[in-house]
Amino acid sequence: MAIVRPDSSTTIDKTDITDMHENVRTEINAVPASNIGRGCFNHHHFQASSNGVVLFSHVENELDDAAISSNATSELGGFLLNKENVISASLAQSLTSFDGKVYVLVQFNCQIGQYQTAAGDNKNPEEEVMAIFGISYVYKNSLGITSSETLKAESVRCVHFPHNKLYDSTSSAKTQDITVSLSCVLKFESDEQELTTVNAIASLLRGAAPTSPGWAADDKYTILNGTLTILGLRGD
Amino acid sequence: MAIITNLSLTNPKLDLEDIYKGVYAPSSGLATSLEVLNGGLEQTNYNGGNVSIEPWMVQNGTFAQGFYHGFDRWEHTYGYQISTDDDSRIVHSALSTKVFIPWEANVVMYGFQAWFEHDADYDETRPEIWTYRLKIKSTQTAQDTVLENADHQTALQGKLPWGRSDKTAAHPTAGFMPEEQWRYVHKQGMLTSVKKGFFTFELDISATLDEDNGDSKIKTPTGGVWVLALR
Repeated sequence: MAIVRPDSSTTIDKTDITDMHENVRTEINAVPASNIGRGCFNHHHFQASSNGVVLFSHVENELDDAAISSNATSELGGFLLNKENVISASLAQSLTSFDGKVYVLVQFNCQIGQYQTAAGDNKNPEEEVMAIFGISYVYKNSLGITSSETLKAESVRCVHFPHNKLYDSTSSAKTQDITVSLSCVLKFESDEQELTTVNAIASLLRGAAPTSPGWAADDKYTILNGTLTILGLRGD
Repeated sequence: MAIITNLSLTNPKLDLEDIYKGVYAPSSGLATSLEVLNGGLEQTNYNGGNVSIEPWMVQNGTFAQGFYHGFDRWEHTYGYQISTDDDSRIVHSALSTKVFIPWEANVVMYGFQAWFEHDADYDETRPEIWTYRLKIKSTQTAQDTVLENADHQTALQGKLPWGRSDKTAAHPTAGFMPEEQWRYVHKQGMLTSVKKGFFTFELDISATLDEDNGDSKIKTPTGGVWVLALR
């Protein structure tokens, strides 16, 4: 790069300094990509975490026991209509300030505690009964119109309750304690405006023909130790 | 790399300090300093276009660093070792690690998965049960101290209960360990604003067992822990 410097034996004044700086600045600012070496930048060259790949993040823990008694009468079609929110994260996260697409990684895990009657007594679950979990979200599109709650189908997981032949109603031996873990990625185009809410949802899924002794319509199951994590990443 | 702004000297006279700051002022944060190239690059620099930074120009580990340890050799913990006292729980060495995070991280994600095979017997008054508990320690910006966040830890603990057994006898005919009670456990969590330093991930084990069942054990045939830090 050619930098113009003052002639020898002349007086250096302010303009000479700013001109030299301007020369250097212009040259560096205009270095084309083809002149940059492979792997020449590392973490020392970039500012702290505020200018990294993470656009936004959110963690929501729900540690208390909760009971799920809603029944999804059919598979995915009835899930959203008959679900309960295990964890609801109200983000109202604007997407307009980010350049390009935004990818949002959502992860949820919790633990299924016990299968119970409506009165809260422990009950041996029947084989036709499953717990169903999923991740849903609401967003504002490019026109600012809020979408209806959408189920991210690939996040859906169904969990069978282990059937316990030695089950009794007095001991805690019926504890199920099954880990449930699901995740999905939400993709937003550059003109979409807001990620409004993300929900971890759950319901109860039953077979069509219960056998004796069969399930009761108001059976429920408990869940605990839920964690919902949301991570917004820069897309391309 | 459109980031260095023009140098404006406001003093009526030429001042050495002005020149110095314009060319080299690593701690000033001034965008006019050419030193801005050393630690001052920001979003403007990788927005795309011929003069911006492309992913291939950046070394691996600049924005993300990860760690994974998987194992497929059996680890055994016996009832004789177990205590429910907080300080005496048995550390599961294959599911514990300490990772150094070399820069301030926007988020740190972490998790583990393991296939637990535990002996747990049936007892009407006190069914046997094993518990696992994950402890994490890190440094968060807000506290500027080592953190053991109770909420995050509680979300990562659980039970491995007595489970399905023979339908006519409390003990299955083959002895302990009906395979229906074994659990594949997978949990993950995330911390935000984590400062540079060590991130400790420690899973410990405890159990409630009959006093005659000290030779009961929990085996872990396979599992893994992972930590991912992002700027």
